[in-house]
Amino acid sequence: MVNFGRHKIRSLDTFGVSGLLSEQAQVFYSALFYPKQIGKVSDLLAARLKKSGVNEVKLRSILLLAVFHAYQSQSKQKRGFWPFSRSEPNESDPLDQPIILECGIDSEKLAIGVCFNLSKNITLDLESISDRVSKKEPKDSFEEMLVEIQNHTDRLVLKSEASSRRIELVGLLGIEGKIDLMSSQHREPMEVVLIEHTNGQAVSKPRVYIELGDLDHLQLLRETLGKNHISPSGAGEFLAPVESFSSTQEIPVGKSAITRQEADEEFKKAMASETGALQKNNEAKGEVHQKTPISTFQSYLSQLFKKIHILKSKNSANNSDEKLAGGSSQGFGAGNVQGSNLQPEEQVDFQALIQAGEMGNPNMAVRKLLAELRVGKLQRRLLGIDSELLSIRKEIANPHAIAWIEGILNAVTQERKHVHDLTVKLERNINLKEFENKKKLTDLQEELKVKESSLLLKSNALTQAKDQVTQLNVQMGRLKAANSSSEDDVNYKEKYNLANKLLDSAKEEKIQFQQKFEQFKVLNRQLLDKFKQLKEEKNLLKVENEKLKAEVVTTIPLEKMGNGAGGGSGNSSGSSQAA
Amino acid sequence: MEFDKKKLPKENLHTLYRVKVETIKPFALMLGPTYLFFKANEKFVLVKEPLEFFTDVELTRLDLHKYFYFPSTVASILPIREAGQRARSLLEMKEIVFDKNIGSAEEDAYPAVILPPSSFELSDRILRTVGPLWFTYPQDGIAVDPFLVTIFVNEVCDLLPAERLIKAREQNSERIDQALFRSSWVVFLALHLGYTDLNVLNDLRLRIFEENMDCLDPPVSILNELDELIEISYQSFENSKMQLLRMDFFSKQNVKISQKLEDRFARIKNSLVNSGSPPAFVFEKWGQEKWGQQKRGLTDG
Repeated sequence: MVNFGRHKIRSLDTFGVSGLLSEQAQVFYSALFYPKQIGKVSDLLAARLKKSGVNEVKLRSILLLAVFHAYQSQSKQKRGFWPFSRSEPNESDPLDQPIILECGIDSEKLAIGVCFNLSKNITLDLESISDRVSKKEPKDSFEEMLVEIQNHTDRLVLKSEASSRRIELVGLLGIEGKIDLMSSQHREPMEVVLIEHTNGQAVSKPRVYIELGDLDHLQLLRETLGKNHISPSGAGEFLAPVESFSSTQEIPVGKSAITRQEADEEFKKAMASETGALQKNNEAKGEVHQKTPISTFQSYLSQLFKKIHILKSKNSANNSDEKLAGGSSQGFGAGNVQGSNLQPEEQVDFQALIQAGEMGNPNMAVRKLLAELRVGKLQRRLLGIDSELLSIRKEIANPHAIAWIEGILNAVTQERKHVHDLTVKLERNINLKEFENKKKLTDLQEELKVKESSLLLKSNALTQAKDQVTQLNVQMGRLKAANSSSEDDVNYKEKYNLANKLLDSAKEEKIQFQQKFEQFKVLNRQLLDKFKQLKEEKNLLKVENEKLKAEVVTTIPLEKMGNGAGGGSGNSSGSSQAA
Repeated sequence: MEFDKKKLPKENLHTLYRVKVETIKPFALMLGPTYLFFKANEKFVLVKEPLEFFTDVELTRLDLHKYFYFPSTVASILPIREAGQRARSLLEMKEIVFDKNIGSAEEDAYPAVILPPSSFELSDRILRTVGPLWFTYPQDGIAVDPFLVTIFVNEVCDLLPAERLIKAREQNSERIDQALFRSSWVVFLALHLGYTDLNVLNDLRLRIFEENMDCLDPPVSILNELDELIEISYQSFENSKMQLLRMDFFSKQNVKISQKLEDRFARIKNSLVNSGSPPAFVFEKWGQEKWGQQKRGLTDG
């Protein structure tokens, strides 16, 4: 396992540089499809990492070497491994997947990783490749490239996935002052890591992944040409002569050519005066003035064309001076300048256009300019001016004039860059604004439609409510009409009263009947009781009668035994009486 | 994609958007339900549903009608389409060789060259273009509608090949939507990762579309970043159940590609997300609900 710096290597079993760095690392990455503008990528990274103390030359070397080789290897056409060989890739040779560039940095080291697919034309022999590379005894062009890259790194790691022939080269660079570079002088051999399958594996996270597009590249790659300060001469500064000793004017002399700095200041003053005047004018009109990119852009253009106009007039003046002095008539003349490469339709006086109000509408003006930029008119015009100025320079023998023209040329170049930057910004802003405006418009339209539909619903509901009110009114009217014919009601009322009376009398009768019924019930109970008493008495009488009969039966035989036969008729009559 | 309003009365004319038949390319996917006006019936009749296409024969036949009609909801889709066009114009930028002697007998041996934007410049501008396609939804947070993604990517990439679309329609017309959604979603995420080569994006879209139509499984072994991207986009798509594709899904994953996406999404969240306005939609509310139910049923099935 490769060891470099205080922080231990966290993991090597996946592609990417984050495993080689600490958890606090930042990883910048980009997906590259062609090597064009790779210099700009290295510029951006170098600018971003400027303060980190990284060796910029090494950083750029590794990056450029690795990316060019990766592109050469991954492109579909068959060719040797080295770039710029006989058959070079071109635009019609696209990659089927991107080269992944990663550049990670932690507190002590930088890791630059380039991940790509190895061409099938290259036979990768990983056995003892590390020894061969460290001994600088490469077997093939791929190993030659590894040797080359290793020369620029403090440590080199080669990761390889066999089935897909995916390769990642990671170069490690120590940051001076943060890592013991003396110990790293003893270069360890290249580490070779075989990666099997990456699915489902958790990766070692860095603190943040930053796509290079998310960096403020406009700020980081801002050019500073022309802003250099000219140190004053030790022999003193000469001032222009004055009318009297009391004069306090101190105008320096000997600055025939306009320096870039002066031009900038002059331009700023002009801009300030112009915007100030515009602001005053707008304030006078009661408008709130804002310095928009469009107005700045217009002013830039107008200034640029003003300067070109001045240049032309000065050139023509020079020419006439030369003529007066008996100089060569083949110098650059006004006719030469006017009969330049500029096409008639390209000779647009923007200042005049602005004054004429043709560009008064900012949107129209910007659209026009953007259209021109898109089709390359402006670019062509500027290039035409450049070529014109170059031809002028060739024709002039005067070194002061050359210096002067060079100054102007620099100014024009700088202006062109300014204009280009502004155009890019402007186009982006316009695109965003357009999108936002369209979104807003759409939203408003949608909102309007929703409101319309809700309004429609409400109006429908209102109509329905009105209909209901109308129906109710109609019903009320009918009821009123019905109330007005009340003769039948009287009869009904009488009948009703009569029926009520009948009902009352029926209720009373019902109550009386109920009372009588109760009385009958009571009588019935009394009768039943009496009947029961009588029954009991009857039973008692029967019992007594039976007793008496029994007594009679017992007493008669005894009398017969006591009285004989004669006396028998008299006793029988007497017993029957007793019974 | 099904759409229930098969017919519309002629009174709806003032609410419908018109498109000339001649301006529609064969095999271009429709942005919304497409109607034709039949004079005999005096009604607008639905001829194509959203994301369906016309063949060249159909267009020739329907050219007599002069116009197609789209419901007003299509207006909210147009900015998405324009964003796609802008993104495509960025991806199409190539170097311009400026030869000032063009047309003359003498050619310039060393002409001036205007280079295309670098990868990071393109990536920056593309992110600025795709960022506003993310909307803040009240319940789902920051998310994007798969239908809108499809519309956007359909403008960014080339049209799908005619024979492949016809074959897909014959294979399984219901699966086309899913294949379109998935392939577009992968391309959409690739754009977020700084994939700015139009050929690669076209190939990627076609590959995913075909894999889905042929019911092939996603790659088993992940060999490169692209495979990892496809894997995670499938997962997020399954998670969404063909509804809104949520941004926060990626913060829960522990793979490299999700970390990269998450850090890019952070920029979108901070400055580019479209949070002020209601999201674009192609279906009216009832249609959307019905569509959602149908799709849920299809996914569950």
